[in-house]
Amino acid sequence: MMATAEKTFQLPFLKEPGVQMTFDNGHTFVFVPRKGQVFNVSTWVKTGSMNEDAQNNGVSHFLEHLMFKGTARCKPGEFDKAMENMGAIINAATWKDYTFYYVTGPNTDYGEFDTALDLHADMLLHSTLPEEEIGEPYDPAKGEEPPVKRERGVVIEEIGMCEDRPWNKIYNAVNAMMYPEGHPYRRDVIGTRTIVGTIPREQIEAYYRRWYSPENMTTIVVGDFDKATVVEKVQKAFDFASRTDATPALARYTEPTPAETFKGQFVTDPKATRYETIVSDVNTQFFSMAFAGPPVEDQAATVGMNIASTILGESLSSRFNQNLVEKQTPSGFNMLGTGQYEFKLGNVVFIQGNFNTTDVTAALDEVKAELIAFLTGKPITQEEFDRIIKKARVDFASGIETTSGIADVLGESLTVNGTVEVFTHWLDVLNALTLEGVQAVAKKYLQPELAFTAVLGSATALKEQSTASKTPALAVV
Amino acid sequence: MMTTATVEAPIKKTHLLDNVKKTILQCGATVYFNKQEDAPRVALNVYIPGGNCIESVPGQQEMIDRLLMKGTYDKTAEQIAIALDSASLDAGFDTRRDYSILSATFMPDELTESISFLTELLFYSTLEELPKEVEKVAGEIKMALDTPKAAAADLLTRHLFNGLPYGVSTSVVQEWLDRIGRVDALFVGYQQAYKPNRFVVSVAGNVDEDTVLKTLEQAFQLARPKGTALESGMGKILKEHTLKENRVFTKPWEDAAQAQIFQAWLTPSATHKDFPALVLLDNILGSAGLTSRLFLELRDKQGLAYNVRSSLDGLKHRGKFTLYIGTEPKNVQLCLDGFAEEIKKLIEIPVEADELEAAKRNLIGRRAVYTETTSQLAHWVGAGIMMGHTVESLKTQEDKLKAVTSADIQRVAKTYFTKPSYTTVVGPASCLPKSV
Repeated sequence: MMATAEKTFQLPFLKEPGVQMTFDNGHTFVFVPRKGQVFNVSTWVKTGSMNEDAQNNGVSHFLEHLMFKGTARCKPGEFDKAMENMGAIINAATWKDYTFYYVTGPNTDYGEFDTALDLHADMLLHSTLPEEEIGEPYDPAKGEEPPVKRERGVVIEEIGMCEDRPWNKIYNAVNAMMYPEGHPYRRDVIGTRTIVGTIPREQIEAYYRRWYSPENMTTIVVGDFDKATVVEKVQKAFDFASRTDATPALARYTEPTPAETFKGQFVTDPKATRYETIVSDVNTQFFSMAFAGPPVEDQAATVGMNIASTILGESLSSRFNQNLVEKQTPSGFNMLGTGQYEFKLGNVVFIQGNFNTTDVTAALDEVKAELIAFLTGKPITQEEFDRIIKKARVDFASGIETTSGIADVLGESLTVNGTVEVFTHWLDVLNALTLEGVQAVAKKYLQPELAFTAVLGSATALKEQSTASKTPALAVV
Repeated sequence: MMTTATVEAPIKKTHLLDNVKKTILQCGATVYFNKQEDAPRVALNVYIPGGNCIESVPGQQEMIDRLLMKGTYDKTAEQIAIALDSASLDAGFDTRRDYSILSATFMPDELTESISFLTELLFYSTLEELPKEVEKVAGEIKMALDTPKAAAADLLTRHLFNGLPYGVSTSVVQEWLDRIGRVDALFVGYQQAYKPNRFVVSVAGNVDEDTVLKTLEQAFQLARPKGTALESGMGKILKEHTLKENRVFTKPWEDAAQAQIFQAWLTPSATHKDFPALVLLDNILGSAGLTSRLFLELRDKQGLAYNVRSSLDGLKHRGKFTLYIGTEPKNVQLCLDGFAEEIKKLIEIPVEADELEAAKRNLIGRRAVYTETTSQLAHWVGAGIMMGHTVESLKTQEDKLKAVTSADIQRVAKTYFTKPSYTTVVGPASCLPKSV
């Protein structure tokens, strides 16, 4: 099989260039040579909860679990056993925009990589999703329960685990407010108990056939290998033409996905709900304040927002940490941070924190006042800007210290942005930023009156708040 | 049926510690140096023996360690934060059961400035921010205990080693926080513990060994005079600690979606002769990943949990072996029965040769994966020394694992799992067991 559109790229801080190519079946392959005792092979599939609807929400994640349940060659558990017998770490993850599978293993020239690549490709191309592994359908919402639950039960337990995490709850509450009706990002990636418990195997398989096509997959290898040999091995292992067990044949899904019609859409109605509360058995209060961020393809704005976020709340010396957490204001902030999620359909910026006071309004007002000072009264100083630009460079270098770190950054760049250039040019974009540019990005996207806020707190805290004034609207002046 | 290349091959020995060199400086600090030519960053960890074992009040050492980032005679807490964000240096303190650790990474060309900065934190802190830090810790503890899983883990720790340094859990610190003391009292503990001759320094990275040694010698020698050893006397008490009977500790958490269950037994120290067999037993039972017995039986076959595992904590004087599962509240008894069944199998049925061989391969193979960074490599050596190992004994860990037999596994299972265990369950009141 021929490789087309082969191009090399230089990764910051790494000695040797990487290479990206697309095989003529549409499968993208990236190789990064790196000396050392560890290899990483991963495959990133361009699907996640963004390609789901209200009827199959959670199928991407459920499928990810079921991909480990055997192929025509491997009985359930054999892949896991073969990998763990060599000391490799295997896992997978599902997110809004992508699903990825990886093996990180020791490279001690006993053929570990060959075995890992062979079985990893087999899993991605030939999973059989056996009915007995999925388990009998049941709807926990109706009190149904089979004698033995199998993987449906496992994922339903995972839902329970997530429900016991305060940060998960407020993240979901914020998503439900900030996206319009029908937007796939409104839904939780993990899905609902009823859907996971009842979705028929045929629907899961149809989803697999539709989205796990060569055009939708990017395989990345990082390790101490010869390029030509690796390319040959990957082409041989990812033999999409051999999918004899795949019936019906895989759809070549190349047109824009339905989710893309929601690109850049956030709730903008000033009268829309922008504040939610959740009562819980807790002794401290958790909150999340979300803002629609820049489009992910606007790299200058995205990186600029990362710098603004680090100055505001993502570093030891950040405004939030120094002025609210370290100084221990009356609200008693236990933590207060910021961060940007980079999403295909539009980035989101979060301020998240935890505080002791039961006066929720006062605590949120403190946060907003600090944010407004950051945007107007006490804008970013040159000293702050220079310091955080240097820190960003160091953080970037430490993020790619491992083979899996390199693969993760590349995989996300290729899947969310469609190009490695986000990664390879990241330092150039960083170096081109100006203080004024970063301040302007912060001012554009972090307007307090446009925030969506969720608070999870004790009944006492949220009762007290209901009798006081709720989150006064503070505008940037 | 598939076959793999690795199954037939002998287990290959790793050579990650072959180049480690030990030097004792004039100031008394012991330095372990591991040259890593291709590493972009240098890791330099300073280990200070003691941890919870030298505390006169639970949480005291942790408070000292926190305060070392909160102000020196020359820098305020804010200036320290700004200095760290302005350099390539990343540094932080942590308190463990048997030691404190200052972990740092930096670029090779910032070696001298980084050591100078770390020295200032280690020796010239004022601890004056104590009242504010007490207030902050009080809040952080409340936040940390705001999930059912954290509450269940806390119950286990405090009861398993009740009243002992290994039982200093989050809630124990909470109870003692107002008795941490004044700055001057804390300062005495700080000066006694933070003496260069008590330090073990573990370095890994692409820097010149002589330069590292000379820079450390110069920085530490001027800092503080040598001191006598701090003996806590806790080692003997911890070694002799026993559980009298099986007990269950519960805490109701009405809106929890899952019940959180821990069950634990006491085990010996990290350097005990039974430790390698326990490591393999742990791998087979519940820490290997997707192939462990607990995972296959309680998760894969019965769908009772997403998260189920075992873990072995080998500390300097003692250890603990823990089982954990998070499950739907009504399944608590089913899970406890499942734990009991798997433990019974280990006691009664010898582990098959291929399962034991797979566990050995898994443990030895993943050592390479878990020591990919200089930080991980430096910590392997430093933490090992704190547990009572030498570099030579760390090097022979693989051989000791390879020598473990199926009979050894069965023997340690009988030795430790026939003794009493403690169980903690947190979840809705209706699911909490009265006894186990």
